[in-house]
Amino acid sequence: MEILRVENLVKEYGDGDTKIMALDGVSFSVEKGEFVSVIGPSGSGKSTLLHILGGVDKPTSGKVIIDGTDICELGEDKLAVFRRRQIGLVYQFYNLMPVLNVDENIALPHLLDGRKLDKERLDNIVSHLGLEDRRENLPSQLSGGQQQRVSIGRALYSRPAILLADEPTGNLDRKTGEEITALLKESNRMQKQTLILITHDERLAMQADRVFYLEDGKLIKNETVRTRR
Amino acid sequence: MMNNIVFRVTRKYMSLNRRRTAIAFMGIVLMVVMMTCVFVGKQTVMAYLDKVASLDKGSWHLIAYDLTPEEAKSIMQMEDVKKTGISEQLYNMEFQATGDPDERPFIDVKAYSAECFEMNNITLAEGRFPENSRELIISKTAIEDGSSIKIGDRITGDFFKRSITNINDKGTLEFPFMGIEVEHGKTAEVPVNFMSYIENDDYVENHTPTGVKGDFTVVGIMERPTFEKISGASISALCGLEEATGDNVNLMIYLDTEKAVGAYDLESRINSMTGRDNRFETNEMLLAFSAMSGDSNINTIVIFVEIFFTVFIMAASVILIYNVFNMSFAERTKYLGMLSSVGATRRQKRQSIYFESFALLLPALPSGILLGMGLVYGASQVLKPRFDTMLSIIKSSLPKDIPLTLSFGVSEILVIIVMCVVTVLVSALIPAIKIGRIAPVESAKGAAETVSKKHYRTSVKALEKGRPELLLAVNSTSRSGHLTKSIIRSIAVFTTLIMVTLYGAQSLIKIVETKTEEDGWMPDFDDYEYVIVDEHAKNSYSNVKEILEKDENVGEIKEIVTTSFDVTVPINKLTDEVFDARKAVYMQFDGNTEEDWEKNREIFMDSMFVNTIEVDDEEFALLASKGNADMDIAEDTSKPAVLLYNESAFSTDFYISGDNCSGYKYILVDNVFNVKKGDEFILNGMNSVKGEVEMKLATAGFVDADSVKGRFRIVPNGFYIFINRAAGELIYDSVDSIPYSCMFFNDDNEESVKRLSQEFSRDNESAMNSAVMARVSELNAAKSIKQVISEIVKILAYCFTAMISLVCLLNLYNSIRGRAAERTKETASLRSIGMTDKQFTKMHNIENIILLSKGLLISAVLCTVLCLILRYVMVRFFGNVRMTSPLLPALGISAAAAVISSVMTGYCSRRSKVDIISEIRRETV
Repeated sequence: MEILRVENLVKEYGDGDTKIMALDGVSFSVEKGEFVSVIGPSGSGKSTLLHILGGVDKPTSGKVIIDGTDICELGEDKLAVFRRRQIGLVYQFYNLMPVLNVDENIALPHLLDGRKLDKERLDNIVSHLGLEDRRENLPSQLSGGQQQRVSIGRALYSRPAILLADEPTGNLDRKTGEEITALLKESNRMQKQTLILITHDERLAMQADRVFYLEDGKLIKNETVRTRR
Repeated sequence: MMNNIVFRVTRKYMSLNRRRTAIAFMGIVLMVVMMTCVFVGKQTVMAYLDKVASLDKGSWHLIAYDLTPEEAKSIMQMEDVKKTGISEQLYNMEFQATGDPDERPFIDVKAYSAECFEMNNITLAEGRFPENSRELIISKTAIEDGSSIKIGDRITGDFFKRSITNINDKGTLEFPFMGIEVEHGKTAEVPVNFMSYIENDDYVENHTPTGVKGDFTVVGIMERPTFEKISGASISALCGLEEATGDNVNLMIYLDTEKAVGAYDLESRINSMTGRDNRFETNEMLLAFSAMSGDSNINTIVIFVEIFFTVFIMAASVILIYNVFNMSFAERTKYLGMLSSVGATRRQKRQSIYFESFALLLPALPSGILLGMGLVYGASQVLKPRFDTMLSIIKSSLPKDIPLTLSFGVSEILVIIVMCVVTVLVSALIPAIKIGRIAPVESAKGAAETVSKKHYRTSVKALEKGRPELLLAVNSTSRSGHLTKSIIRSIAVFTTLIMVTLYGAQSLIKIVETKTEEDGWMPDFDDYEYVIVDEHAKNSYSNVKEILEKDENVGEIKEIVTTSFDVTVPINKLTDEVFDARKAVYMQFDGNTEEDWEKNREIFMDSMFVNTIEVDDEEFALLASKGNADMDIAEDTSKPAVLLYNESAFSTDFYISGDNCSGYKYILVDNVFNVKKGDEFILNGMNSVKGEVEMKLATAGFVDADSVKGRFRIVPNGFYIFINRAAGELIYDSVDSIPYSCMFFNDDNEESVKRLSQEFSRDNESAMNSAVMARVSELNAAKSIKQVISEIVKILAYCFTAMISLVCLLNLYNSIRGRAAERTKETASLRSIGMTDKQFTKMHNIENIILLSKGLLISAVLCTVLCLILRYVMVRFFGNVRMTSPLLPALGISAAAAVISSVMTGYCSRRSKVDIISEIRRETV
């Protein structure tokens, strides 16, 4: 079942001589529960693509249809609601709320949606992330790996349609990076969570079901990986 | 200096953070501007008033009369004497060429040194100043009287002293305003400007030759000098003085205001030097404007205002600058951490803060001083017409075109610079110490706040009830450190400083008003345009009334009759509060003891006169109804009735019980009379035939400032009662009384008003007409020097409060903007996980409420403490004057703080509606 379809996505920055084509007619689709990684050199348009998919940026033209909704057509408020319900975002620099503790950070998007706390789910997630003894700590009291785990917990708590991860291990050491990757893969595998991972770590990218190669804003390769590790 | 790497990095960060640097710079400039306004403004206004005062009486502080030439020379050597002028009184001479032989038959000649002409503001109408003792200038009054005297004429004659002999067998002859009392058959010397001799039954005038012959050539005609009395018998004339020889040398003294303690201090030193009580004259107006007045109230006010303004400017500036440094603490820690990791010492880290402060202060000083001077100049031009009006009310003779120019010296500029440097040093001190104390490891990590190990309990309620905005708001206000504190501090500072400044300013105004208001009563009628005041004892009273009643253009006449020292109230009709207040004032004077009070209290209290204000029965009933009095008594016009004004003030200014008063005391009593509605009220008075008489009146009720508002204004240094016509008749029939009548009326006919004005003019001093006509509005606007100062203080206080508010506003904006700017990443994160605008607004509103509540709570404590301290200081300075309640302004300021911080938060949040993408990719918060 198709969960995401991207049609002829174009994103331009600037104009005239300074015009930069960040995305140049990118089209693809992703099935529900699929793990896709996007790889490419710096400046290839990976992050731009992820931001557009995550609804935090608008394309110059093209369509992004997630679970049947073209998010490019949504107004700001509707897009915000869509984001918190359907998208889970994991960033390289975690982007946690510094004033909220682990529990509160994880539950935040759920609460923003006007829903009440699902204590059982929160406990499960915290336990699964191995953060039981850190529940009442602020992000500043956590290590980088722990912060990224909270960030993943926050992204997963609302059971989003798609989990988008932007270089989630880019700021972590190798061991911690591997732990985070394992967590993401586990959620994809166990909960059938669609996962789109942006990375320039080819070894990590190759763990996905499919790999998209971006270069100069163009999708130059859409490759299915045969063996999943 | 720029080779110092710490300074270079600091400079780099200053230019990177332009907005923050600009706000810090603006704060420092504002501080310099305000300091300039206080010091240059005070100097400018004082110099202007000094000029005004000099134009009135002359540019001298003190004249010492009847000195020997040696004594005069010794005084001239005194350290605090800046400038002197010698004059010698030559007394009177017959003026053959007078144009008014009945009223002004003499000339009064004084010999002046060259300095005296300048110091006494002698201006020529024509001719030149005398160059020697044989040349003379004469007042223009001679020409106005019809004299044919002209330049080149000679005036010759013998000088004589004037005296009068009492030939009236009725008793002592008194001229209270000249301080002359002559018993029957005795002779007393009178001043040169004593009124004209008119044959009368009271006295005869004698002339005693001084032995000096005068032979002068007129070289000029001078404008009427201020010391010439229009009612005097002499026309003033001045000749040159080569060398003072006699024992009646007069020394005109201008004090060195930097060194002198005051004119009265110099007087006592001159007295001890000469070994006798010398005669002095002080130029009170000039002394007042140099804060050297004999009236300690004015001096205290001038000094207090300066201290009050300076302290508040320093406080507001310290907080603003401190806040700017404190807010950038995180960023500073980071770059100083970097420097620390490569070997920067604590001292160097501290230097960074000081470098930034002084790098901003350096350009801020000239620009602030110039801006401040511009502001003072602009304000002085705007306020000048107001000053002119006020001054012309004091002295109608003052010229209207006295220029109000900027006035300052090197000392003022130095004081401004020193005060600003001290303020900046103090502001930067705590941030510098804090920065220095950050351990090298934390500095290197760039941790602005040490990571604590404490646990932050989950806000279960907010989570369970699904209130994300509440969760975010509560936690962001309780768990984020310096930025939240900075806003709470700014709100607290905003409300506290404005509140305390406003309270201080209003109290100061109230104090100045209370202390400068002339005691007594004033009508507050807006339904009458003119008033004629006349004394009943004069023959003119019935004539005046008749003239008014016959004038068909004059409408209804409202007459109010008043007495001051005719009747007293028995002490058993006064409350204990009155006794206590009187005692407190008595005890304030040095050497007075409890025993003295107990011994003398009956005597002190017995002499308590009551001022009566007799109003027509209609007015009496109106006042009674406003005071909720017994209307049966009030409306019974056949019986003497009284409305008691139940407020009175006791102060060391008014009730003097000794030579030295240790500190000022002012007590307002609002329960004066120990009687009830319907009780009999007794008044005592003296009758030359019957002796002491007692008068019984019915107490209709009580009135106070509120109930007489709109009809009368009373400044109660003493007791006041309103009486009806029947009571008036009873009092004037019973005691020897000379009441005054105030006849209020309207007259629409210009010609008629002009005629009446001439008839009842102040200058019309004919014996038959003592009545004086004035506009009611002018009567109400009549002001003294003290009241002019009160007005000036009022204007300055409000301008100052506005400026302090501006600094506080800047501080609040800076804090809110700083917090919003530093939260852009948080904002972006929240947006990226789906927070809507509505939710943001809700979160900001909750945050605002929390921050405001915390800020206002702190402010409430601070305001209470500071207002109490301020009140204590003011009471120490000025006595316990009833000050305005700070509650209403507190509510207003709190509401203003709420509105301003909400608007600013909204504005700053909109500005920080940043590019989500760039923010979420930014590494640090």
